[in-house]
Amino acid sequence: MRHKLKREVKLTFEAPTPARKESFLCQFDYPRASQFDFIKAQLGYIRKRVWILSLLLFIVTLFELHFYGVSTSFVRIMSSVLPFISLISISEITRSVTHNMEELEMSCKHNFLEIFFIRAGILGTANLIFLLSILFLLVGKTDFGFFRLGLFLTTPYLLNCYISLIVLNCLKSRDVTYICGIVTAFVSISNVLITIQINDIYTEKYWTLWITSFIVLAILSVIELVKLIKKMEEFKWNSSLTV
Amino acid sequence: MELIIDRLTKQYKNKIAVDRISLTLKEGVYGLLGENGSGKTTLMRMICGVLKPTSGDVKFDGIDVSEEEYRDSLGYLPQDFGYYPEFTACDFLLYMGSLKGLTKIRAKEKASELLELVGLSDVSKKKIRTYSGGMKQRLGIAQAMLNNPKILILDEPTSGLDPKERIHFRNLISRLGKDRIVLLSTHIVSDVEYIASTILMMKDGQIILQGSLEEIIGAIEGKVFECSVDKKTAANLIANYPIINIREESDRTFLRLVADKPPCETAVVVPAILEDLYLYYFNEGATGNE
Repeated sequence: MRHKLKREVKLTFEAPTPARKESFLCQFDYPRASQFDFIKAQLGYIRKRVWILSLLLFIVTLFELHFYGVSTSFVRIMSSVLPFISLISISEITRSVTHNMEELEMSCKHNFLEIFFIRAGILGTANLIFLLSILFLLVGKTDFGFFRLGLFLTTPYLLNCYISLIVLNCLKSRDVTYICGIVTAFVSISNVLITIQINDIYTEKYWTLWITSFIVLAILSVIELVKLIKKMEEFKWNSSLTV
Repeated sequence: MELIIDRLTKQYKNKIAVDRISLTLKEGVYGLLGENGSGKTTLMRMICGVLKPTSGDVKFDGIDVSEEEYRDSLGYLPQDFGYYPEFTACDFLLYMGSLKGLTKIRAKEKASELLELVGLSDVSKKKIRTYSGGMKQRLGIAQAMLNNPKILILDEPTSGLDPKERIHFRNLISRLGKDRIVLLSTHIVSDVEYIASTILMMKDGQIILQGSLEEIIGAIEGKVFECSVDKKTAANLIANYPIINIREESDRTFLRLVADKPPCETAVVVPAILEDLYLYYFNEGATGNE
């Protein structure tokens, strides 16, 4: 009976248009995304090319292993290609600045610095997993041990990281990615040329040089990374732009 | 709801861009007027936490500008903003929604609602790089409103919009100002005249005038004159009075100017408008003996 009455009332009288609907709805807090949701969302915004290049290199490694076995030339090629993985990661981290998005991102709840850390964290972890996977695939298939192979593969990668970080710290231009691209090409080509010119570069004779280079480059890269983080903290508060 | 700006200063080496500005903003639309380089954008950037002040504070209901909670209440449209080139309007709003802490479902709903509101629903799946300047500006306004902000800062929101779109946005901003603080800067004096409940006029990093339209126009009310004079008299008046408008007619010159008393016999006093006041303060070339 009550339902029938309600229906009749609805049919008889026209409902008034809602007054102050918007301000009424504003009183209620809508569900907010958690930090985990935000990280997940950021993961989704990392461009596909990062994953595609890593996957491609991984497939090439598997292919080489399956059909040809691992030669010194393959180690040379692999160590010359790995800097491009770091270049793609750097271009991803500096994407906000390259595309003039930093001012908008700085004014958001999850701001520019947070985005920088999350992207750097995701890409750093992905690069580490990728490098370790390649190492585990190759180790035992060459005359080099795990650590030595690791040094041969990661030293040019670290050199590229170090020089690229210097570029990021010293230059304010939106074109830093292109400059980092030139750096990567230089590192990659130099690696090929040096390892071809010095036939015995992967032998015991240069073992100390590899270790020293790796340690020095790792320390220098960490120093530059700390500088970059400090610069980003400053950047968070100082979008730079004009008066 | 109260946004307190306390002795806010920004200094760049020898130049003081914003000079000890103190303001208390409550619900309503505030129009910030000033010429290029007067410090409007710097002030807005500091209010948004994008630029670190040299000294002074910005607090919203006691929350400091550097806190996440403050940014959670903020919507900001910068004068010049970029976008990731591969993004469509929809992608852009979903991305900004995620930065503003919205869940994916909420961001989708809000994006669709705002795209409808700014008239971009039909092109929401098109890449932003194919958009015109006005369309990008509309998208910028939409992203600023994603989190239903309590403070809405709009730096030149109507630039690049055609007259019809400008009117549409003026009405939209007026509505938004009912239950939030809206601060907008513009060069288009009429925009401020129509929608701002309070007008703030900036010059050399300072607020030189502040109040409702009637209050601030009061400064030159009864001092705006119009006259049509011969060329010789016109030259004399131009040299001696702040000129607001000059129009060459067949053998005479029409002038609109500011003076304490009638500058010539034929001059008639006319009601002052905001543009008169703006030009009076900012037209450097038109400073005569007044």
